[in-house]
Amino acid sequence: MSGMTDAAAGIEPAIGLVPTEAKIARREMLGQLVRSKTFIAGAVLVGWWVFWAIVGARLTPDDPLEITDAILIGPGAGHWFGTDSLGRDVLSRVLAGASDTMKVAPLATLLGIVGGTTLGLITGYFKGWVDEAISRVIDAVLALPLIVIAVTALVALGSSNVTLIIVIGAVFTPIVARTVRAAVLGERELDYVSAAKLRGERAPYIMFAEILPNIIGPIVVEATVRLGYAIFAVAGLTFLGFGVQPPAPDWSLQIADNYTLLNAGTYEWTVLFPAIAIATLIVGVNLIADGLQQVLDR
Amino acid sequence: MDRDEMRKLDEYRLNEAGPLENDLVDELAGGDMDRQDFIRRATVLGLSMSVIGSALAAYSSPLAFAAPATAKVGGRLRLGITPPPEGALDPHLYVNTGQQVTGSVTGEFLVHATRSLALLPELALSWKPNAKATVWTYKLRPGVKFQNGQPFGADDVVATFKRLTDPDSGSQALSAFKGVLSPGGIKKIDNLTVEFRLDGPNASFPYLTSSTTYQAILLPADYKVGTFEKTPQTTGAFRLVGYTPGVGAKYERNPGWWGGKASLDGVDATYFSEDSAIVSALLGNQIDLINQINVVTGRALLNSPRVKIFPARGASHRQICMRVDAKNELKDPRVRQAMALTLDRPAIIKTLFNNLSDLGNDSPFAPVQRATDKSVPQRKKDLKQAKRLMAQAGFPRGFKITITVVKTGELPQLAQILQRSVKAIGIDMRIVVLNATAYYAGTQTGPPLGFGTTPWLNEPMTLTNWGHRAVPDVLITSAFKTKGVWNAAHYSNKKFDALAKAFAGAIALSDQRKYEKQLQLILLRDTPVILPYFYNYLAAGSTKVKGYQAEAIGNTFLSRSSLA
Amino acid sequence: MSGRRASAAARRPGWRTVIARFLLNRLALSIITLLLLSVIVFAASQLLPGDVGRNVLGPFASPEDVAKFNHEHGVDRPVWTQYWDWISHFVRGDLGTSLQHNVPVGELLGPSLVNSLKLAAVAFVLVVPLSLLGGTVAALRRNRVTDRVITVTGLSLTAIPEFVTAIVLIVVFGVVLGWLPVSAAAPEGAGVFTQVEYLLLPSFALVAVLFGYIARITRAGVIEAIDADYTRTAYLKGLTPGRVVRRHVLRNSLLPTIAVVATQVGYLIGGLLVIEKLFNYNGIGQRIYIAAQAKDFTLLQSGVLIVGIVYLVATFVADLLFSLLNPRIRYGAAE
Repeated sequence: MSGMTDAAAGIEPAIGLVPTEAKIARREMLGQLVRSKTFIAGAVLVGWWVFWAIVGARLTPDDPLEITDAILIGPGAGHWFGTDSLGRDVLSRVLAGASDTMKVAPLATLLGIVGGTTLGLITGYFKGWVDEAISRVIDAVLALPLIVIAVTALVALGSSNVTLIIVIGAVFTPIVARTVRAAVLGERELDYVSAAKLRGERAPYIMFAEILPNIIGPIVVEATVRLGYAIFAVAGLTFLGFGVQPPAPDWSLQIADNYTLLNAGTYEWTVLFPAIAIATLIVGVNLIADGLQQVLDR
Repeated sequence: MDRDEMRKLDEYRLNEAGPLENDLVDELAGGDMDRQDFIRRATVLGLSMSVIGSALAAYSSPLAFAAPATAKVGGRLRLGITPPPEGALDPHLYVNTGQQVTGSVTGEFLVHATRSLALLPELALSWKPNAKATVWTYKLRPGVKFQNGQPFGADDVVATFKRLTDPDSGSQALSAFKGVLSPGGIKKIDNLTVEFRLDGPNASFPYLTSSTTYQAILLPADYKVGTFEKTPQTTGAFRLVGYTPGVGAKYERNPGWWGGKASLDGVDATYFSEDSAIVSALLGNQIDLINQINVVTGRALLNSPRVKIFPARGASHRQICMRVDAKNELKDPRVRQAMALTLDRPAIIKTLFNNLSDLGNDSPFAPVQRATDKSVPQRKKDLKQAKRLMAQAGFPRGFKITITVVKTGELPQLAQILQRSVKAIGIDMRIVVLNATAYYAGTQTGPPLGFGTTPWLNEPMTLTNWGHRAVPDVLITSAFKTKGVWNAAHYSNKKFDALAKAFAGAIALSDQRKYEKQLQLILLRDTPVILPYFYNYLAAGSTKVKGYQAEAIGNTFLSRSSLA
Repeated sequence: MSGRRASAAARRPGWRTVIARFLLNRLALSIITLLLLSVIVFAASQLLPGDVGRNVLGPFASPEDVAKFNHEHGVDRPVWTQYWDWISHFVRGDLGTSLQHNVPVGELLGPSLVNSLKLAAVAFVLVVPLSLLGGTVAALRRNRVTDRVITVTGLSLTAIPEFVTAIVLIVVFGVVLGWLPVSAAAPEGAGVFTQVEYLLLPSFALVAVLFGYIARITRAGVIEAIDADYTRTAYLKGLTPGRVVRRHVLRNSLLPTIAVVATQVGYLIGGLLVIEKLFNYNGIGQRIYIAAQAKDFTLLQSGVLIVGIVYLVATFVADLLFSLLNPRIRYGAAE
């Protein structure tokens, strides 16, 4: 009767040493993710910008805030991406420009996810008139395009990163709530929920401890999709003047400052490179979302 | 000296000239005045062109007036106007660019101010002051008809100016006429003569009846407020026949215009709310002329071979106001001077305006204004001196400050240049950009400091745009005198106030210049405001547009323009 | 026997009644939604800084003039009074008077809305067939090169903010090549073809933004239809692939596409602020934005509500089409 023979015989030894089903499933998913080409491509793109968001102006070839009188020079030896209308190096500004977007967008998404999940759990679980009332309000808000709501709110609250986070997060909450609500509706009739009810568990426990872990999959997917939209929204609203203030090297600010120069068909480098930066970041996030979706939404 | 001209001049001086006119000619004879100044000053006093010519011929080079080139008749000019008008189009209510430009295409004034601020007859043929410059007598042009057929005469002048000076009419020109002219001071003498009886002596009064006071468009005596856009009823070369708010306006040639036949068949104006759109439209040949561009958004136009730039030197500027009463480091004038000394002004106007600008010397007196004394030395960048001043004030390592900027034109860029410049003396400046609504929101008078709650008059450091004015009088009173309504720096200096009063009362140019010089020097020492430049007013149009001159005040006059 | 079945069938509601009931239900809900919307917008607009008097008269007007202006336009009345005044007129069709421009709101919103609808129509006509085609082709050549090209291109284009795409289009087609006008507003009195020509550039920008999204949904719908039982049955019955695609697959893939397009209507009508700005187009998005900046309550609220109505009508119509086209609903009710 030695433990070795037990293990060799495949009999389960002491509890805790062998992974549970859930753990095996998770490890399998991670493995799939790592093998998914879309996920890797997305991770590389996003990772590149995360690196620059952290490192910022410390590693850029020039100081992104240095104003010179060499204005609007085209791409060339000294400045690979040219200079802008205040003589600042565009390459340095593009590399340093990731910080603000990478600060605002994930926080806004987090706010939207937290708010939306809570709201979705409540409306999905309780149904009845609570659900109806809240859903009506949500419909009313969603009847407007994001930009109208956001602009009105930002004009009232003033422009800064903090207000952007609050406004975008608030607008995302109903959208996320809808998805979560649909997922909860699918879960609430299942056995484990009835079992919990019979056990006498209170509603908040059932919602957050029982149902929530089972709908993490779609929530994670939704979160990454929302992140892409958040970056899009931050870009658009900063372009309109509602986000971070000058002289920050934010990409949308660079575009807003310089797009009128395009009218002569010249100076396009001042706008093109920040635009490509935005595009690569959003595409990267969407690729990650796609990869996750393929793996989690089986 | 030409003896004939001398004789003509002597006759004039003996028989017609009053004491003011004689003083002026004396100054010219004494070599105290250059040609431009004399013309300007002389036209204000109402001297006729032949007298001016004689005087100049007598004492300096002859006057050469360029004859207008033969212009092609026909075609409709497509005018782009930005920004669109806000509010009604009644001239006495004009307060924004869109309204003013829309009205200026069709409206006319008693007197026409040129780009160098000389005054020429328009609906008035002559204007003469009495000895103390308290009564001005205007003789009107005969044979002028309004576009609704009514003849133009003194009754219409009286009615128009009564409305402009009436505190209950909502007139936007009240601040200009306050203390100068009251509604009861306008008297009809006969059908072609009007007397303006002023509240006090004022040598610059004719400017208030000229195109530099853009609300002063002449309208019929029975004009009903609210009908400007519905019925053409000005005296101008073009009739306003269609107007859609936010979209555009349409003008047709007025066949009964007193000035003859305008070259253009008509004007089609389109309103643009976005600079980039109007610039694209000109480059894409959808419009022929833009009323105003700025270098920031219109840079593409400066280099385009299809586009002609129409510059006009003016007094438009930006003020970086530093509150002298704030409980922070800006209280010390040495700190303010130091900040002003960090700016490389020639580089700034090269970067922001492609050199289409005059340098500013931290006071509101523009080089183009006639009273400006040009002998005061121009402040230059001097980092050593700046650092020394900061150390003397007790801030060798600098400090933190926030500047609040209104989002117009190149202001955000100027703020960034300033931020970068003051970094050299250790100042860490944060920029907050507000749109115009937020920047100007709130009350302007009252608690807590007497300037209400509005950001532009209360933030410790602000950056505001100021438009062109023909004379600096209003600016001095409202922005620099103690408790001036727009005194964002909360500046208060008794000596300055006294000198400003003396400046306003001075009638002879040499006196004006004397006081003005002292005012400049005081402001250079105290530096409540950094005023880095007076940028040129710029219009732009296709090379087809001929006979157009831009005006710093922003009016768009097209009666002598044509499409080649 | 037959009597019982006949009376049972007679008692159960036919599909027409089901749909009618559903639509009435939706109508009631929409009205409640709009009411809530109006309250939310009104509350939000109260938070805006500044006041309309100061905005119209400018910073250099005297406080007395500003107060007078505000009083004349009724903005110093209590909040409830202003709201009730506005809503009681709105439901009767009187949209109020713009505080900024002093003309009836309808005169300003009417042309703007028409313009937005025109732009949306041109963009719609371009993007729907293109996306359907793209999505179908991608689905039919699933996972092959064509599919990846279409999907990745669509994804990339969607990711780029529309103001960037719009600018590149303006520069390339409008200025450098000069093929298309750079402003979206055609001269007055222009014929249909000229108006469409002026709307092409902004429409292309919109197509770029929406193509990827709609094509992706179409692709998913087509794949689902191809894999479905009834398609296999059709093949087995001997129908040619062409007929199968046209008859069965397309009709079913249309459903999710309709649903998706309907959700974009709100954006296409009221959310094109940036495009309208760049192309100097007098659309309703711009109108609302300018009204918000100037604190012109009447114009802002009426404008926002109109956009809300358009959006709800669009989803309504989409749901109607959805239920008409979906065989399951049509036949399921009568089962």
